[in-house]
Amino acid sequence: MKSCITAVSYAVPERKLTNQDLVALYPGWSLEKISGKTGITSRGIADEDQFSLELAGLAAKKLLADYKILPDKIDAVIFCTQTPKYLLPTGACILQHQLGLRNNVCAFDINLGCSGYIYSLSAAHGLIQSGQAQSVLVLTADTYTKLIHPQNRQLRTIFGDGASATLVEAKKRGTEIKEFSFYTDGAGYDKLIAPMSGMKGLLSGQTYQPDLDMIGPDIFNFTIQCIPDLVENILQKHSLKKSDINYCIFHQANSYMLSYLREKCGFSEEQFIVDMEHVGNTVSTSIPIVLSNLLRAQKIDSSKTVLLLGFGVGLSCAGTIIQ
Amino acid sequence: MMNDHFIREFSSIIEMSPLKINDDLNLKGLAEWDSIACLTTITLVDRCFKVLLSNDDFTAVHYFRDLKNVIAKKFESEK
Repeated sequence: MKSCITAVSYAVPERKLTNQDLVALYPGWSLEKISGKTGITSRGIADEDQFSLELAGLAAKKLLADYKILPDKIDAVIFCTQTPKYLLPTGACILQHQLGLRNNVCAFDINLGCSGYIYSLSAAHGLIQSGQAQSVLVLTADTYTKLIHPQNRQLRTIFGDGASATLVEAKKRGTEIKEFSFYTDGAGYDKLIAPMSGMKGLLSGQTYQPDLDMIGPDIFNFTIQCIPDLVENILQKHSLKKSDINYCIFHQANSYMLSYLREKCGFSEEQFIVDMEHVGNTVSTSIPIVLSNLLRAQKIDSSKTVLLLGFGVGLSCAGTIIQ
Repeated sequence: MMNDHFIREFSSIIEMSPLKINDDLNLKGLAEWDSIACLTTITLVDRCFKVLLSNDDFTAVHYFRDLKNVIAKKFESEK
């Protein structure tokens, strides 16, 4: 039996932060410069009382409604987030109840960022291949904007909030998830970090002040150095050539970085999808947003070979082929 | 080691005439020398010299001469 992606939906907050808003907030920042380098014109911003849990619930309900999926069908729910509403309990457990899933489902969270969707697919694939589940609901959601200080122009320009829902099912035919490749370099843990966002901050006795910090040049170098090798590894593992790939869906970090990664990896513009203009960098949700848009446009079917690759905070990378 | 191509490309990053690029140019004092300019400079240096500049390298860059020096140093060390 194969593990196949059979449905993908996503949800982004209605509230937007546009480039015009940013230019008004930070004089000297030009509209052309922001959209030209980042490829982003607006980003979704979660309301004050809207968290990753609520966004994931929205995406999941949309998936169930759009694809007419009965909640009873789900055997497992995996929730990937780095901005949980609660440190405990597990978000996936709350979502099991809110979505009306059976009690005898497997439910757990994954704490990963931009590589998180690929890791979550890997976990779903493992549950199916080991016979523990036939139907796995993979949810991703993040509200990174709540971690960003209002004065941090660089990060407010890039990140947007959002959530996705993907159904992975045991099928004889369909868009099959193939083998995975991973790369981790924890030495770079402080290249993208919210230092006071966990227990350290809670126990400090101080009110949390948004403190997400990104050392852009070092993350950029990490991706330039590791992604081309990871791509080669994935291709070799599947006996594929670059020309066999119909679409590359990389984590949508920013269009400038993606453009250079495309060049370093040797893919054509036609193969390489950049689709983040109206959502920004949505962390673990960026890949399923692109995937959902391609599926909706009927550009992906079982005849297509697609390379999925996530990279970022951790530092962590992961990739796979769907075919 | 700085050729015309590099100077021309770098001048477009900081939105300045190539004629105004000299050793004493104070990059830290330019509004255009921002996070996006740093990323763009990384790719330019990688393309031209096959070396990667880190965040620490950028921290040490105040003037254009500092940028030249850090590139030269990295280039030599990776030979």
